Amino acid sequence: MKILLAEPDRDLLSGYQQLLTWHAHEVSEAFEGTQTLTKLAGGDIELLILDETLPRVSLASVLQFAVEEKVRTIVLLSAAGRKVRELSGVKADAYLSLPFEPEELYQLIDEVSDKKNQGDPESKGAETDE
Amino acid sequence: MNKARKQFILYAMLSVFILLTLLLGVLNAVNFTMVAEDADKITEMLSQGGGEFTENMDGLGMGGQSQNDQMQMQGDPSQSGQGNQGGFQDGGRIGPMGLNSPEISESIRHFTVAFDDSGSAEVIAYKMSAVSEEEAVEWARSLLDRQTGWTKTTYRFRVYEQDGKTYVTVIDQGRELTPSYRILVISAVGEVIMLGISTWFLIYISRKLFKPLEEADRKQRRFIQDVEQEFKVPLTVLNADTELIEKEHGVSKTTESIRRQVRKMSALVKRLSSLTFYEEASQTRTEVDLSALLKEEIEKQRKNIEDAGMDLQLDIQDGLTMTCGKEAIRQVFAEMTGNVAVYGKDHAAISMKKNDERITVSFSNGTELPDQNAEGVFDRFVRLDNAKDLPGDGLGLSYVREIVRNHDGRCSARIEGGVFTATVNF
Repeated sequence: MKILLAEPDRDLLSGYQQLLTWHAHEVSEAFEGTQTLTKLAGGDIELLILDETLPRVSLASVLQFAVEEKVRTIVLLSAAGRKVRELSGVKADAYLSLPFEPEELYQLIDEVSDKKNQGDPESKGAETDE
Repeated sequence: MNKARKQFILYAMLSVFILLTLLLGVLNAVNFTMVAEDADKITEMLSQGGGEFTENMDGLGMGGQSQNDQMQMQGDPSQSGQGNQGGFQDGGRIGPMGLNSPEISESIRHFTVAFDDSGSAEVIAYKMSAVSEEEAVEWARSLLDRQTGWTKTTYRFRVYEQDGKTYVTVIDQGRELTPSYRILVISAVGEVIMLGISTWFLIYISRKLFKPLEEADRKQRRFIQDVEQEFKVPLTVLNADTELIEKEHGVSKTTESIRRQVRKMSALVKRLSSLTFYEEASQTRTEVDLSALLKEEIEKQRKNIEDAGMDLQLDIQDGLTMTCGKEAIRQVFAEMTGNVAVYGKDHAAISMKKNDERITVSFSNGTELPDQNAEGVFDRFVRLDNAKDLPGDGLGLSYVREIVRNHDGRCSARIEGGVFTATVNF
């Protein structure tokens, strides 16, 4: 799976870059907003793992751009916990609050991509109609 | 305005109210008693004068004269002038004129009616324009079965026997009572005004008093939030790095120990965030179906409880609702059922009932611990002896108590006959 990991903390970024690569994903990294937008553009990203504290570009615009770029799944990493859900306009497929263990992230990725795959026939149909 | 400040104002107001009411109540009671005593002295004078004021009005014990002195004076006309003068100087209680004023016979409106055994009435003295003589007789007759007291609010009466007849003397004390009623009204209005002023003052002073406390509270929250935020990323990184080490060098005792410690810290950090979260969740109140909420939380733990070999009995009254912070109360139920699942042995029972407007939720399970008051489980970092080797940080139930207190409820726990029972009352 092509994953874009957008996370401002370099240690966290490199740690999960390695772990996800280990799990046979193709992982690209971004540590701030503009870089994230550049990598999203035409990058055929399937899964965006996005930290809500990403600097330079607002969370809402990154999310909107990701939707425009047809990123299939968005996982939002939030240090602020569940309150993020209440934030208006921020809509991701899944939320993961820090601190978490690698296993939790793997499971979440499996779950959301399974869900997306089940919904696939419909969404693909819609796309071909366009 | 926070809860502590509201309570402070409430209790302070209550004490001011009680104090003022007591003070003004006693003041007015004494005042009215004194008027009544003075009135009784006048009726006594009239009774001794056969319904009329005699020439010798020496004040009946006013100015320290005993009954004997007075009787002597009555029998000694030559001394009556002296007695009068002395009484005049003493003044009496009912105004500048006093009981001993020579004008008293003119200023007091009164009448006396005598009844003989056959019940026929004779008006002995009549000096009152408010009622006719006939009305006076009927009025006096209605007082026959009493001794002394107030009648028609402002009239004082005395019933006494003399020469085989029953006498009823009634005097008008309207003028003497007016100032007392005025004081009563002034006291009541004054009390309301004083309460108003003290409310304003308390609100003002409590703002100053509680400012440092609120500030400290705010700082503490801020600190907890900072700690929580600052620990989150490092813990996540440690998790990832440990897994990387394990991938490269294999799982070792060292990496397992790191994982365990990181897990402990992560749990603590999550607790800290839930502390602030549930405090906020306690504030937003909605009507919640408690029965449904409890059942939801039990279902989440049912498997764990049954896996631990416990037989679970439920007795939950349906449709019990309460206005509360839903997520906060959910946490209470989650902690309590989780507790049963982790620490329970053999059997478990959860019940919820409503008695006398209070909802009681009870969680019980078998335990090997001896009988004791286990109230301590609701304290921070307190864990019972059977919990030492089991997961948990000793904080869960302290949050439960916080939340329950925020909802004006209370928690209790005890162990009796091998059964641990924790009860939450709302």
